[in-house]
Amino acid sequence: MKTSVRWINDYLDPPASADEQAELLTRAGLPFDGRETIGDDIQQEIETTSNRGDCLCHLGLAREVAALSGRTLRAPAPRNTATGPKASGVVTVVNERPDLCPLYTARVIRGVRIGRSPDWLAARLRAIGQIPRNNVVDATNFVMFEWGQPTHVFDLAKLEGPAIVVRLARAGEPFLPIGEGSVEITLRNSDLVIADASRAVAIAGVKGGALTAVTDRTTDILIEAATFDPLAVRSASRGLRIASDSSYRFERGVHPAQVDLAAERLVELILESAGGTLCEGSVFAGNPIPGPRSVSLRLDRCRRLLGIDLPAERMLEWLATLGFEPALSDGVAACTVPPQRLDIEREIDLVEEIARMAGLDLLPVADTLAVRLAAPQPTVTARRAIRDALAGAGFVETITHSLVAEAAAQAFLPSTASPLRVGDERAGPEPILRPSIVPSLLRVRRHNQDGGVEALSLFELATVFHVQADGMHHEHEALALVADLASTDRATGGEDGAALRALRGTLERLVSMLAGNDVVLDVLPPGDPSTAAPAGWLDAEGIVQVDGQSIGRLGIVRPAVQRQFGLDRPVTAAEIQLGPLLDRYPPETTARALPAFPAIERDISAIVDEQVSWRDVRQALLGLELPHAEPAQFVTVFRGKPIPPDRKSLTLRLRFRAADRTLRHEEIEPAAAAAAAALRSRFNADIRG
Amino acid sequence: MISSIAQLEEAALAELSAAGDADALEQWRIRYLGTHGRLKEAMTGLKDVPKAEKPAVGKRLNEVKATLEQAFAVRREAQAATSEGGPRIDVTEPGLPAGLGRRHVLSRTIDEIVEIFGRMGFSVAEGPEVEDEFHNFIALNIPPGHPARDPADNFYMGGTEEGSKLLLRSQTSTVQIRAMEKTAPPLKVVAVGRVYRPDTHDATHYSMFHQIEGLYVDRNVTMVDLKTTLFQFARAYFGPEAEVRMRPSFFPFTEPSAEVDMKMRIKGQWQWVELGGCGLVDPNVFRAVGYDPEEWSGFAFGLGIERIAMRRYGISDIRWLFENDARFLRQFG
Repeated sequence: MKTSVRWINDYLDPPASADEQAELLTRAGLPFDGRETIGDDIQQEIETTSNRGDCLCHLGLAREVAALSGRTLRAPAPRNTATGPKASGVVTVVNERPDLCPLYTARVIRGVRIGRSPDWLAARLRAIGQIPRNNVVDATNFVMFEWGQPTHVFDLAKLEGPAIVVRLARAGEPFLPIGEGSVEITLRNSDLVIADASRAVAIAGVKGGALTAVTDRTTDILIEAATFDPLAVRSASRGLRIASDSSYRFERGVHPAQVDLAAERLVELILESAGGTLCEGSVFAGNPIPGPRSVSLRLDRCRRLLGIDLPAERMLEWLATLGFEPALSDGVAACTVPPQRLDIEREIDLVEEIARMAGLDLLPVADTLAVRLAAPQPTVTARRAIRDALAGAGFVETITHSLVAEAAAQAFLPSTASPLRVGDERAGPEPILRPSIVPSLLRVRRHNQDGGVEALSLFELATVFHVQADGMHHEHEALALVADLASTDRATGGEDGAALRALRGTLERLVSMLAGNDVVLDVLPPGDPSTAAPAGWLDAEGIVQVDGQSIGRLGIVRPAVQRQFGLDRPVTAAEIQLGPLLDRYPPETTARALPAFPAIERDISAIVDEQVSWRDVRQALLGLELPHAEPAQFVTVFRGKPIPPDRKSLTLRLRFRAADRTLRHEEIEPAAAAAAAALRSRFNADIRG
Repeated sequence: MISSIAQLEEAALAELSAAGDADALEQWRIRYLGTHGRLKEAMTGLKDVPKAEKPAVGKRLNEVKATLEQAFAVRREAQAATSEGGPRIDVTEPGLPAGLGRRHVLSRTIDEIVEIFGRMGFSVAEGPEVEDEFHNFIALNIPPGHPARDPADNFYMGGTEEGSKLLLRSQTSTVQIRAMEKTAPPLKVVAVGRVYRPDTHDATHYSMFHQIEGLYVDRNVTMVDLKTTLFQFARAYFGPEAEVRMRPSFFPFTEPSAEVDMKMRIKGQWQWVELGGCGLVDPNVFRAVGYDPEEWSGFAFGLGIERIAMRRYGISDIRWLFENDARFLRQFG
């Protein structure tokens, strides 16, 4: 809130300098946020928290400064003399909703002369950035910034009845707010309004109406001072998109106890500057004003929570300064809460008052800390290991937004899922909680392409989301990788194959790191009964399995998707669920002795049909249970002349080793021959070499 | 005879030092140490030496032979070293880039911070990013109608699930609630992760950012413990001159509440930076998770990860962190 240093000093004895006000208010939890000289005054911006509606005015801020610095607070004490007839004979007030308007008061002044405000008052308003308009309107503004009590003045002659009715708007009821160039709006039947005998003349606590506003020709006025339910005001203000200094204050709470004081102050200012005759009394409608609340503070509890040993006298003195009138008995201070302190309801609220007064900057800090060591947290360590390993393997880690565009999400949804959507237009063109990290990485790749970055590998570890077939939302942690394909020559498949093998190798390394060397990562073609359906955005797709459980997929991003993301070159991509791997970390590792005797190796090149997969070949050889043989190793694959089209040359290595002696070549010949024979018979292989 | 041996030695050593390349060395070896070389020749001549001189001349010849062989070995080694010298390489050529991979500066910052709190006995707690109203608001003492629940300040999902609206969590404090629901006190956890608020993106605002939240519940946890913990963190993370300042503030889920400033080193200068909020856990929060606020007390704090990283590394636009330009990300270590 913009404050005037002079204005705050109007209520302080002795006055406080701008610096002192700034420092004290900051210490009180109302931080200073900049200043500006305006005429002979200084405007200071003071931030307020939402619980301190009582500090949205100069009197409230002066109260805080006084309490923290031992100054005397001098609040205005208006006294007015009524010489006119009874107000209740002039206007009727009906309050249909005391639940939403706990107190409504109306006062009447006749024969005012609209004109300029006195210079001192205009100067105060200018100092906080307000533009003076006329003596009546300025007075209402002044009272709002003095007491925090919004009020409203109607032109009595324009109120039909004349009557005031506090009621809910009728659905579709029209209303023209005050203000230059304002347009008529339509009220909702949930909006609380102030009406005259026939129509809404103000949105309660939010905005007055243009048709009953004070003009230069106004002579008789009705002064409204009331309190409204914070939620009702907020709902109307947000719903109708009208915010005002008044609604801001009512939303934070205004206590009925100050309504009459503020209204009398307003009357005093108007009579002084605009003259007129005050009608006797006020017309009010609402609930009785609640009596003062009491809250108790156990002084020992306060000491225990703050961790400092404060003497009782100090605490009582502070509470007294803040207006709580503490009475100590048995270590318990019974406090009476000043009405404007709506934020004080519980003992802990008083503990906070003591903490504020003691000064948080004066709390001591200890040199040492007693620590109970926490148990190891494998998943936390595992995530760090994954990130470090991938960065070490040349991948750049990204952090991208979880919200993506519809088009980016659609292709990446699991087949039976629908997208999880933010139900708000403010999410703009990216309302979908992403079902996959890959589209985000493709966008990042595109951004880097625009920047000329070559040979890039990316990864991100993040949450992905979707709505399941049963309508419930689902989220899990995923790891996605996107890496440039080294070559754009896709005819041979050789380079592509190598790129995919590199990506798979990265995943294998992660799996062995997380789950141990004995856990096998397998990659199977999609659509197999044991795997998932193809994803639709990948070519050369493989379903990644760990111990028979599908955890993700890898492949080459399809040209159409590559084009959709504007990528010049093809990329490989993988995405896996992390949960199943994190669960296995850390693996149990038992060291094994290295083999004591050398192995004998035999390379076999088998020309087989394209459809024959390495996995089939490897499994078939394992099934032979050849004596002394280790699992066959992949060496290379070759396509092209002189190999016929639709065939490929697969080179593999057999390794034979005995644990207790060096094998002789003759010993393994039968096994090597059996392997070759099996390849011929099972896969129609031509064996070379 | 002895004198001619001396001449032989002298000449041989002179010629050896004159031999400039491998070929000349080899020529020298053949000439002096070869099967038909001059030393062999002198050895053969030994049979004509009078018997009385034989032992002395023989001994002398052996000495010369050893001298020449050793001198030759040294020369040959030196020659080999100069002539082999390895392939021709300009050592001033630039290094090939190695280790192009990088951790994101935010994830690294998170790990560094979590590690320090780990040393202070905090475990890591986790929770979902899509939350219900109970964990994001109600349990955190933010009742229906509270301005913090306004749709303008939150990403609500369309529709409801099990009677509650869903939303992207607006703070990591939700994880406090989940941790306390699962665990009986005492409890000492940090939660770190993404939070979401519908801000328009500019240099200092982004609709997604990261927070680290700390929660410590035990018997007799105090404001002094809170300040000490934050102070120890600041010293451990920013260095021995770091300081902590707390200013009274308001949050629905803590009371007393405070803003946390830390004095950190920025471009060689120690400066105060606002890093987040903290306070004692509000008794209403304890009641929401079934802890007795008379028996247990606790503190909570929340720090902004982006804010720490941006100030620490002089990152003037938050959007740089989420564009993920490799040229930007590779600036960090």
